[in-house]
Amino acid sequence: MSTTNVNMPLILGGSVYPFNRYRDGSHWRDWVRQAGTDALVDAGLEPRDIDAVIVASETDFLNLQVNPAPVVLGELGLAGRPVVRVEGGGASGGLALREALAQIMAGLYRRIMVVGFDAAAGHLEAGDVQLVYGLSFDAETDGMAGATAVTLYALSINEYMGKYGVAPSQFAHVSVKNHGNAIGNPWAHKPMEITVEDVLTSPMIASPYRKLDCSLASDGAAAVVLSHPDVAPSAERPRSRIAGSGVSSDYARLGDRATRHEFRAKREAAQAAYEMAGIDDPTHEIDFAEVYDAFTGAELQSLEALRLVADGQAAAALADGIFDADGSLPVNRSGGLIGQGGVPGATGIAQAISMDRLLTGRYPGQAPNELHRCGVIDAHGGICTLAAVHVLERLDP
Amino acid sequence: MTETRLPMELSLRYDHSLGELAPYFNALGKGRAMARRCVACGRVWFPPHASCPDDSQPCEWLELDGTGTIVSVSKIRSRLPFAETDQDHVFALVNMDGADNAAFARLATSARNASPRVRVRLVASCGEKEHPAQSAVFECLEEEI
Repeated sequence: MSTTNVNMPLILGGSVYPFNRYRDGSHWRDWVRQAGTDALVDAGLEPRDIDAVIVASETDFLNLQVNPAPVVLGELGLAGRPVVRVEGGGASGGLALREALAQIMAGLYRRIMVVGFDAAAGHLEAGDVQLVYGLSFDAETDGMAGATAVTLYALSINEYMGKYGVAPSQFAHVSVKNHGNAIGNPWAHKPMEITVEDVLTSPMIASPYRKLDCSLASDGAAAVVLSHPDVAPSAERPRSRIAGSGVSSDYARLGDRATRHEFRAKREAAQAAYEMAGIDDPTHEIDFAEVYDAFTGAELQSLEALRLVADGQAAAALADGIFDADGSLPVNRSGGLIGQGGVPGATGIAQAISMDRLLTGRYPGQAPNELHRCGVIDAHGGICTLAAVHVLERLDP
Repeated sequence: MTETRLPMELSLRYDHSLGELAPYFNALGKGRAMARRCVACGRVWFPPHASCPDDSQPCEWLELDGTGTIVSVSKIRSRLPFAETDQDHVFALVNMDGADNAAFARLATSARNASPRVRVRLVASCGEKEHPAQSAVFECLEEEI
């Protein structure tokens, strides 16, 4: 790994309003306000230190607020700051990081807060959320015909299973691992100990995916502060920086793709991020991965697209424990979308915060001597229609 | 006591336009498969695109014979957009004969146990559909049943 660009932004701090299903009367503005306030504390900054804000949220259908960015500024005590709202489905948070990185590297602003949120769980009825999410694909030809997220992911993983001879019992372990990892994450929606048998006997949703193969739709928010290294306050602790960033896209319709069992956009985004970070061999140079596990099989498809394991080999590596919390390449130590939960606007930002803490030795329950150099975070929208991949690297004081 | 949650009923009426793909949608319910072919690269799209997503060149209409092959299948109990109740559905990706892509579609009740590589044909669907895309329904070809 040999990043030479000295303008790559540092992560000064961040925080997450715990992902959950809130029916306690709290509003997404409350979640954003708390996450932003806590992020500034973690960064050791005051609101006056923030030059600009990037806001990520997936859809105003969920939040009943059109043009939410100025509202977010008001909640954060940052009224009047320059702000851009970013939306790309589940990739929204990752794209917001990308936008902040671009603005800092272009010299537009020096310190940027990136804030993501969505009220995806406790407000609309489940059937209505399903209808809204069905419009995340080609709404005309697919969404109106009845396509939902789980249906399209199921059609994709069925082709993967046919190509590589993988069975549902093999990717069920992703659910066991990620729900278990979430137990150590105070921000997680569904921390729990389960077995492969629990996954395989949970209700069928869309064959082959059962209920415990599916990620969670959650409420919540996350905020992270990025800074040009020249204006970062001095620190005695390690920090992380964004060392690489890549974005790519695929046909909106799954059926238009020549190969539907793999995530081509993610492969291209990862390649761009790795090149920027100077990574030649991700299998050996990446220490942690937080990947977009919308469904158990999607974690395997993502790991292969990220080149963290050879094509068709993810299930075998999973069975060998390589991706466990104590394995050689822990994947979704946070619990991922399956254990931590899925807040489309916030997920990519929460991934960056978890990875920052893992790399700087600040993650809950992390052993004092557990020091790692490099991690990759990965968010996508649609059925990997839009992918954003970032590489984070630890910098010692 | 202060109320902190308010149940609200939202109702939207949306006058929807089908745009340049209207001939495709209108033909579906009649069991006819209208595709579009890029005049530059020759790629045939079903469902169609107004212009080619690969090279932005215009596409021209052509009618396919309505037969194809299943490439992937998933069974789900779900509610079609704007429907009142959940129902059991079998969704599939179908590669139409003469097309280079695959269509997201439903399988008819008679084809519920179909699997990849089974041959199917588009059927004329009966009844009112909330959106004509829901008329993309296929049944197995007789020789494959």
